[in-house]
Amino acid sequence: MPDGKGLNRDVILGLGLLAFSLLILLWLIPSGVEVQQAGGMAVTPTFFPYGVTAVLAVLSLALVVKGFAAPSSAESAGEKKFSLAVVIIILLLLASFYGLEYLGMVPTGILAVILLVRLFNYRNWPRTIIFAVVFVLLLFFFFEQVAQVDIPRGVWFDDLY
Amino acid sequence: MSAWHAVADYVVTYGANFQKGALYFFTFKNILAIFGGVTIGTFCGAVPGMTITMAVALTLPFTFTMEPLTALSLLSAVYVGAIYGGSISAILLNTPGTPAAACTCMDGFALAQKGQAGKALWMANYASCVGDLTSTIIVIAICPLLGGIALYFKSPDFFALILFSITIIGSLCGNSMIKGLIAGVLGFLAATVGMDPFAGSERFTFGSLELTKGLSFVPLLIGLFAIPEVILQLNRSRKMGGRALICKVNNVSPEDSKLSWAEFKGSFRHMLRGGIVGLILGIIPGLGATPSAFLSYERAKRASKHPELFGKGSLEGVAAAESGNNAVNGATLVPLLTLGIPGDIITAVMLGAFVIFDLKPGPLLFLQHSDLIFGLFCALIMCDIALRLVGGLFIRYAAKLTTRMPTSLIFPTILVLCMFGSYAINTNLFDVGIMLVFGLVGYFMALLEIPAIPFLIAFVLAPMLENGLRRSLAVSNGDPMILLQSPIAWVFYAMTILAVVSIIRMNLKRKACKSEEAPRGKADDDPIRHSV
Repeated sequence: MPDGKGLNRDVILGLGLLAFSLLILLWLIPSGVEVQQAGGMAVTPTFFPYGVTAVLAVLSLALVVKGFAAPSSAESAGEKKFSLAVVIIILLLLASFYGLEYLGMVPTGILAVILLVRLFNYRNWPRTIIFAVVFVLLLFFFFEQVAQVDIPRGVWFDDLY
Repeated sequence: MSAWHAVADYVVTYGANFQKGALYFFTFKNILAIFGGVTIGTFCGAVPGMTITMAVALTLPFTFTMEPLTALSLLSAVYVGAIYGGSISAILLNTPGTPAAACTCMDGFALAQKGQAGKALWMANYASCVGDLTSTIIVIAICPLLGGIALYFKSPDFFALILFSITIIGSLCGNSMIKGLIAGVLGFLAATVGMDPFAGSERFTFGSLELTKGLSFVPLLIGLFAIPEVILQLNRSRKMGGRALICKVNNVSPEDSKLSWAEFKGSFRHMLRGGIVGLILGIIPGLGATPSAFLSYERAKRASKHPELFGKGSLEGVAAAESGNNAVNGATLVPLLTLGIPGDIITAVMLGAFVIFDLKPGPLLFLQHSDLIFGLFCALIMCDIALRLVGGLFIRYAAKLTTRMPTSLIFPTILVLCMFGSYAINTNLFDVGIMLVFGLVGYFMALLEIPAIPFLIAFVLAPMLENGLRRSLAVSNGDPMILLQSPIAWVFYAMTILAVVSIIRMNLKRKACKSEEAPRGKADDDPIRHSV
């Protein structure tokens, strides 16, 4: 027998997607798509986004109906649960993006590896630091020297290396 | 002249040309270029973020001083190696090294989690060789004829072909058809971001210069597939005190590390089918290896005696995906060599190589430089031999090194690799942002059990579908009947209807099986969930 959580999840997801499709239809397409009706052009640039979003709205409604009629099981594997560690890693991902701009890719990469290794419960500090530095420097030299990609130094360390 | 005479003439001319090409190709430096190229390509393909395009483009400057055939052999070898190399990280890390290997993740990684990474890697190696060899042999035999077929394709035919390709989404929806279709629709929407290629107006860019080029495919792909896995592994690893491994490597029996003859034989028909699918899709400009892998996989799933194992660790699935994506290698050269049209971005890079050597690809090339063309065909066959040997060595090395690394070390490195890789594609930090954003999108999709694969397929196919539709309607001044006027398009529409009916039947059958199994207490049939 399906439980209530399954029903709620499908219904909530369906309603959320329906709201998202209405947002696209009523606001994002009118304000975000330039329509230059050139002569002889049969289909405008809004045709495809409108069509696709309409399909999304219909499918969202179908998901809501399915949520009421035949709710899916709400069982979830342990690794798919939202935990504090997941919140930290998401914040780390967002911080690393800003780190790339200011610190550059090498220091950000080293810090990210150290923090993530610790987050993954590896407790040996010296090994973690050596591993992070060696790995990121190897990557840096590969991309700079072999692939000829100019790796960003960051605003703060631009003149340092 | 009778038809028999024409066929005999065709065979004799081809035989003579092939002999000339073989004499031109079989030199030490050409063979060295092949083995070197496959090694470089396999390495680049295996590193997440290193794209095939990047590998081929980086090799191009090193070919300026070489002879034309050596240069083209090297570039082809890098291409073949890189497409295969993508399967290594797809199987071991669930991170497709190349977009074409995304399909291999589904079964390859599931097998790795069950302790059968060795089996999956060997199957990928054999399937890559068989798929590519099948396609290459057919390409060599009927190259001018195949080029002629693609020449007849017009916009409505192209639209119908893409419409048919989209039915792949339906069969890869996972447990919920509605959620799979929603993922596909979201992929279509994501593909509309950027400059409208037809009218030149901006869509959903909101003043961002970076977004005018659209969402970069590779950062989006890396984000969708690698980041969610890092986050999910974090929970798994913390539960096991950081000692959890990506793949089950302890107590792995020798049988799980090697591919048996029976397993190879059982998947052989999928490899051949993948070779044909790759040949057909590769010959049509613009499609490439990713749709080919998914279509080959989908066909294999339908033809398999055990479709329920697909996505949960099926060797047939690995064989179909890998043969499908590798079979495109030789086929993409057909429009380039016969029509002068690059079939994909890699052949566009190769077109650059032809131009460097003052060669103009097209029908005249067969008359003026037949030794070069047939030498290149020999190079493609040699690539498969090199792939088998180099790939075998790589499997031993990569499997030993990678699968014994604990998650606490390997996943942080994946994240940094993703950052470097996403940046290196366009040397743009914005792409790193796209990778991170789609990483989070992918994670929440995983939480909500919305599959990422349909999103990806739709993202790849959407621009082609829209272009085909809008170009057709522009030609007909908005009359939609143009879409129904071509017999080629009708063939694809019929195939689309057949595919849809088949998918619906498959879903009904699966539901019926599930409802029969439920009373027997089979609560969870997902082996991946319990394997680590």
